[in-house]
Amino acid sequence: MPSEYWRHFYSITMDKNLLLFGYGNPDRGDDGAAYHIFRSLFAAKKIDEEQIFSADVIHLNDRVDVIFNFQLLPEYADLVAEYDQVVFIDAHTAEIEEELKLQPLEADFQHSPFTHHFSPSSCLAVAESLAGKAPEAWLLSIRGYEFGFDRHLSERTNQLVMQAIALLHRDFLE
Amino acid sequence: MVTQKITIEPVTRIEGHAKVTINMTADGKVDHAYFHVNEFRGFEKFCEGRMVFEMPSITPRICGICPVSHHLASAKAGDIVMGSSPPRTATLLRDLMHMGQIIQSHGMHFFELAGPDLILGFDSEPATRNVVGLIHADADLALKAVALRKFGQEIIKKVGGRKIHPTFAIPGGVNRAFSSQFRDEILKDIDEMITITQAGLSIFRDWAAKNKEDIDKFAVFKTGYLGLVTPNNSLELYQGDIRLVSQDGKQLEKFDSNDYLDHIAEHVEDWSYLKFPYYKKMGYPDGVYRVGPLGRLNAIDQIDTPMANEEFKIYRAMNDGRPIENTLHYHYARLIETLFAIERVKVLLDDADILGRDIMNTKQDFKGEGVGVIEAPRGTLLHHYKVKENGQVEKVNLIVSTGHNNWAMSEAVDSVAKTYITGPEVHEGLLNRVEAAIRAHDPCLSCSTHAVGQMPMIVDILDSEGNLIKELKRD
Repeated sequence: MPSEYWRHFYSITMDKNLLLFGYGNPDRGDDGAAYHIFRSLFAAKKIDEEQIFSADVIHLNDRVDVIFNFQLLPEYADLVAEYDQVVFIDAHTAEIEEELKLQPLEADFQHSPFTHHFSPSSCLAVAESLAGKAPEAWLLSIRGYEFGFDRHLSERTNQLVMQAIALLHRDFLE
Repeated sequence: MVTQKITIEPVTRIEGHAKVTINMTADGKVDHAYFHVNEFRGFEKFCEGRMVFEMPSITPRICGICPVSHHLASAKAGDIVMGSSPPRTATLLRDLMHMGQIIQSHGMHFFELAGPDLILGFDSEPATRNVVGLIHADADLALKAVALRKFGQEIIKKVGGRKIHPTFAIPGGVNRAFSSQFRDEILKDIDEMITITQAGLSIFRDWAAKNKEDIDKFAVFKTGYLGLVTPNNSLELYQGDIRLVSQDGKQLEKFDSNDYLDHIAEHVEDWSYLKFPYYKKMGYPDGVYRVGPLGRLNAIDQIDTPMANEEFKIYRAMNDGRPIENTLHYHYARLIETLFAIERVKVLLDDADILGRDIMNTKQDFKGEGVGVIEAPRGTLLHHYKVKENGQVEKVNLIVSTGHNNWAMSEAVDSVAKTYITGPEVHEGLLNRVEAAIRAHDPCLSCSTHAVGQMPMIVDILDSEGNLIKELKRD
């Protein structure tokens, strides 16, 4: 694992409330990377994985909540504003060089002509405007290779998802 | 000779998608502008071989923006395939869930997506021309908009049990009865939601009065209009016949959704993966039509709820009773529909049968084929299934809202580009108007393409005399 990933996580202290916000379509192959990560986290905590689809906040432990949806939407801004820290989890395409990337985010609204493109930075910007503050936030993204109609991950993305799960376990759940 | 090509391509998580290309001539005028959809999907193939009762759970996964619409259209197709009409309570509950989807989707579009353009202005700084800028300009309104969205989502959750991946509607009915507690919780917020929507209408009317010149030259063109109607041609979003009216508002057809293939065909262009539906009798492109809020309000005679109908009368009077052709009035129509949906929620909740326990018709008379139609927020959504006797789906055809509006979106982009780009200098405000032409239709492209193995993507760049100077082709 490249050291830059750890450096980002070291700044996350264990006494702050954290939200893991995963999004993507589990039926679009690797677009569902976050879903597969949450399945693993839920299994470890013996939480019914069906709850992933509630689109509601699920308490993973005393400090960490998770939420999943197909897409990031503007109305989540006020939820995001309730937390000290948020890690958005998503798949990415070839436009991002790294296969697994954790990057700190700034509140920055990004314009889009379509309803269904809402970036985590835009979410933070709305949170900041609505609540007067945005949480410290990161985007953990996993390279996707296959985005067809398939409920399974490609082999390469599955390997990356395993790495991402290990990373989350070590830093947040243990 | 084409000297400059401007491309507006949204950043997407999934490669492909759509873009606008504006071809300009040597003297800085727009030669032609296209709205391309170069996303390649195969959802219909994905569904083949699945069981028909699974389809209402599978099809919402096409798209995370309007999953409820796909869920309900699929269940309606399943009702017909299985020959199992839902009991009245189930129909009321499906309708209620659908109104929740309309309210949250329309609310998000107006207040969070289109609102910044209207309230802050097309020429305002891009850095502030967004929902964040809107919050700073009118924080109270922004918070109310969030409340409207949540109201719609809460309806979906209270009716269906969860906000995404609904498993509520099934062929023949629904699997969950409703409670008086949920009914009362929704009812107590109705008045506030009406007030918020009326505030949105007030904003739009004020803006329209000040920007009439823009509205009257911004993508104004003639088409037919299509949408579901009640038997007396009132606005209907859940069930009814499909009504198609001409550019003058005269009824061309009124037909059962199961007969859609008798009236609608799809044209293919080599520059878009998304097909172009049209009215068969008039051919392409004379028979193109618009759907969605503007299309629906142009296809009806009245609205059956009082407040929305009063607003509809004002809307209809803007063009002396004829259809409204102005693309920017999609926003006005969207707000009128939001008002209707909130009023409709109250009508549904005041119906004693909404709390009934007869929610599933277990009697079946297998038909093997069926078409489910619903008015999704963006327009008419058709699910057509052919099913084997063992319940396995053999063939699927989906015509989604964005598909119906494909021609109109491309025409709107071309019209706006030609109207506002008059020289080589292209300012941000001009480009935003092009985007706004698309945005008015509220397209959702992630569910709107389905041409498996039929068509490569071709981009031709032509000079002013029509000579091909470059061809890009992607198989």
